[in-house]
Amino acid sequence: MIKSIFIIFKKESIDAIRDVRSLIITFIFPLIVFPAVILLTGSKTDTIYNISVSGIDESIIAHLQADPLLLVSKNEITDKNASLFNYRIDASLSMYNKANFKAIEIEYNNSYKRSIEALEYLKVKLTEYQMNNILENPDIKHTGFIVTFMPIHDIYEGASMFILYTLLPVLIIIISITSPIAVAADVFAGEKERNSLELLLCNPVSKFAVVLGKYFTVFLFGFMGVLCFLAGFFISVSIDSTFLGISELIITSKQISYSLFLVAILSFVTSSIEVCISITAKSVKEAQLYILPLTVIFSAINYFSDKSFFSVTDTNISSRLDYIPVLNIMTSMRTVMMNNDINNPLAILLTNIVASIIVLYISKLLLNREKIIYRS
Amino acid sequence: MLTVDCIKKNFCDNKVLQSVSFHIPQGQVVGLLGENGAGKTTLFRIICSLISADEGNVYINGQALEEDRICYPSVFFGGSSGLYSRLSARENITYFANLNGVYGDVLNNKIDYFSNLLDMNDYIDRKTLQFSHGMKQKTALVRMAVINSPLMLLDEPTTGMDFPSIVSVADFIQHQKNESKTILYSSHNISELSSICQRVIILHKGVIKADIDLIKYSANKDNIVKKAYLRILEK
Repeated sequence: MIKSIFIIFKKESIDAIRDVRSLIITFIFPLIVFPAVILLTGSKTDTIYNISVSGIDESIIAHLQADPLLLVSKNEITDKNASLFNYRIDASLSMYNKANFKAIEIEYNNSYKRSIEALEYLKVKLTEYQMNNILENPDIKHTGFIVTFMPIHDIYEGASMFILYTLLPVLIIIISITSPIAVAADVFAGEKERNSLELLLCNPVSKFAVVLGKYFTVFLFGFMGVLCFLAGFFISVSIDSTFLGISELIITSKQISYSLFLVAILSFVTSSIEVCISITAKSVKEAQLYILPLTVIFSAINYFSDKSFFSVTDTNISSRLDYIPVLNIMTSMRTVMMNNDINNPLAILLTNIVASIIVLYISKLLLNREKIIYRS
Repeated sequence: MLTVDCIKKNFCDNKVLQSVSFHIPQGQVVGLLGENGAGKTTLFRIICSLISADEGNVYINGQALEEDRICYPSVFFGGSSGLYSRLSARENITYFANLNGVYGDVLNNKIDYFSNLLDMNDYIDRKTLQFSHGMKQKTALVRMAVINSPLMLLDEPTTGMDFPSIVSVADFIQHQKNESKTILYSSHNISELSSICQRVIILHKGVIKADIDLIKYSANKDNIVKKAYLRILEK
């Protein structure tokens, strides 16, 4: 059986690799989707940054005012947070005298690209000021100050969090379903169109082996598609991380390995459902038509997987959600990003593998039905 | 070799096969003749276990289809060659051969032999996407031949073929006959059936109306079949 599965898997993989449409949908599109967004929207703005200052030394203000890219207003802003929130100013500088040193606090809007650029620019300007000061007054010991940053949004509410914890999981779900769609639709519905399915089933190969051989191809392409998408995401971040609302993205190796684990499990489940749909469809187009709504269904599950939606405060109920396949993947994606950890990975693995095997077994049973095989 | 025992099959109210029975001994080539909708393809599908009969059974080497089978027939469905267009003819053949446990040099030698026999050397390593109908049919024939099953089922293999290709197919069947293969061969072409087959079964509206043993006749075989067939159609 294993040999038959491998033969079918190999043939399907070669067949899919030679299909330009499959390659574009599986690899090219997921890879370029984020970099394209960056290229279209992420070009650095060349406009002048509006800065408000209060309590800052005149020499520092003079240094900032000398820069043509900075429009500095002194003590004119009453409500800094509201001004930052409404984009009237891009950053606000305040100086505080501590016990034995000075501190400059830069407030900025961490959901606004221009504001993050202003922050980065001010950091450079203030460092430049300090360097000039040291060079001009080498004998003075305490000419410096420390610079702190203060985002106006809570770290979990800023744009970065929206992209990382809300948008990214949804996009991963969509890509894991859409990237193998051409392959999934072809493996059974395509066989029906070519009239090759009945020939395949005439061979001394069990129907379950046929289902598994084709399933592993769909899984491989789905997983590779999501990997390409994540690669595109990290390329985009390395080009310009300000679109995330942060100056740099720090993701630990633990987060990466957990994310890959979850993505693989997600592809495992979605691929099995796609194979099942492909068996029931009479043509490639019909299979694609039935597979696409999965993106909406899974995105809805992702939305509901936010435990706050259920107002679940009881930890027992909360932990029971970890045993519901698909839902536990979505929940864990957030947990990994926010807490750098994953709850009950074994339960996630086993529940989803069992769910996939059930779907694949149903697929095998469907292949026994004349109306399914000859539905073309 | 192949025993079809009282097979009945209905599709809703349509009685496609009504108590069809016959036996084909090892090494015999039997033709199946009948108009469109007579139940030929349905019978082929039942023999291949693709669909189940409402009543009756099929035995291959005395073994019922429901049992764990040792012998699987190699099949050719004429409606479409069922080739994968992004694979070459050789890859298509290799795929099905591998699924039937035929590998390596044995397989390559067989492919080379049959591609010579059917004059396919020019395109055996080309992708089948741009093949003509005849080229596809020939590839499908080689695909079934390399499997080396003792039972071959050919459902209208020469449909849409030009004359040289039909001659190649006839040579191919002759070769399989010499190898003592048991062959059930359906066609609408009476002279083709008469020249290739040792026996012709006429299926009409799901019922076997005639079973003509052509070995008894040395000449005018197609006239004999033609007369019998016309008589059945007139009734």
